[in-house]
Amino acid sequence: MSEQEDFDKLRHELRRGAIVLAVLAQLQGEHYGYSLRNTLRDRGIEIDEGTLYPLLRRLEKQGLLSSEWREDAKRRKRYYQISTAGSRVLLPLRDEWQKLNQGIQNILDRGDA
Amino acid sequence: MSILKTYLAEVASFLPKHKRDDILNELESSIQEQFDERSGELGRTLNQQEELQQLKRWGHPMKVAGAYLPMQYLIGPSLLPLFWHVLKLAAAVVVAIHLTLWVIGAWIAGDGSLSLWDLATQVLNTLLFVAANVVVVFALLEYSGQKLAWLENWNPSSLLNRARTTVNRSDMVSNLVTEGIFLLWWNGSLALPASFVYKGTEVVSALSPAWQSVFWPVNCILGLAFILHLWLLIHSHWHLWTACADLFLNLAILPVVLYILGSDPLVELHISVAANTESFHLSIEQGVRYALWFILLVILYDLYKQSRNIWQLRLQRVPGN
Repeated sequence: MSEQEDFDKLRHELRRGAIVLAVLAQLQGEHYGYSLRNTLRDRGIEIDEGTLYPLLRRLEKQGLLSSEWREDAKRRKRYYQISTAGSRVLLPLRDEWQKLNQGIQNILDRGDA
Repeated sequence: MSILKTYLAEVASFLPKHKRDDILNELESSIQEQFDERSGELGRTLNQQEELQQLKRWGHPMKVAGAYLPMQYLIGPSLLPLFWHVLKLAAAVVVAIHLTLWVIGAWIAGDGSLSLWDLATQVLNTLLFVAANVVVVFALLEYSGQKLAWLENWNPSSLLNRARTTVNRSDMVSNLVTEGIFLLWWNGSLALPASFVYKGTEVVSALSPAWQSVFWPVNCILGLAFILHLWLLIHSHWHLWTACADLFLNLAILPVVLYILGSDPLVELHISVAANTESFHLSIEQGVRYALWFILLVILYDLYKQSRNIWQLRLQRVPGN
């Protein structure tokens, strides 16, 4: 396996959990798939379509999101929003992320010293 | 039909029916939105090539559909190393059986009864069949593992006194492979070479009717032994009950082997033309008898080993030991 492939694999693993948090946090406001992807991209989180849409389904199946079909600009769109259960999960997840981020930052700042 | 509709129809073919419509509606809406955005940037309608470029970003229809389905394994990463180990050993056993029979055949015929090409074809056929069965067994293990969560329910207390009660994995894999191959052959699912050329005449050997009376006892005992050894391979730890069960199965097969040893003849020969095959028959008969004596010795050794194992396991149960 080349260095680039190694990096891609590690990057994928690193992003996997973070993306869930980003999606849940962004869906505190209502979005349909396409607008959510664009908003996340504008905020620096690029998610490809093949990852985002199945993820939305999974989170909805877990009860963390709710969705409804609505007509908008003559097109039917599925709008997603975080559910009550999702909001309850988001808070400790956010804390966990901040702790993890802080810890990693400490390690990265200290290096091997 | 538009390119988008064709693409969605391809995706649909990989999706289960009950999920299909909902997923496709969302995909269509999202992809169409992407087309519109690109179209807005260019200030004109997209041509076919540009639509295809957009679809390429989404990927192969099977990949798109697969992302919506739950992750499934035929044989997952936990069992894969063991699967390869068993598969390699099974392959070695198959090659060894074929080579032995080939050498015997060549020795009897004097000039090589089977060409190397034919031998290779036979070995390959048997290998494929045995490999397919190994896959089935491991797929069932994977399935049962997911359902019963036996990997998650592992008990760390099995680490205590491990040195005295650990299952020898190589022994267990050898048992499983030999029992599995034997059961396949015994039940007629696996054909091993049974014809030889003797003094220019083709002779087909078969087990005598004496074996028929032990057909079900052998199936039951070896079937249970196979399940027990599979269980032990996964749990890698002897309990008093598994050791007793193993001892019991060895004891049960003992009279079966003794009964067969007491029968005469053990092998029947079928020949296409009249020929004197008496000495050949005697040699085959003697060969099978030696093989049975060898099996008997192995069973007796296993009985001795298992009795010692049970004794040690009993000592461990006694407080203070």
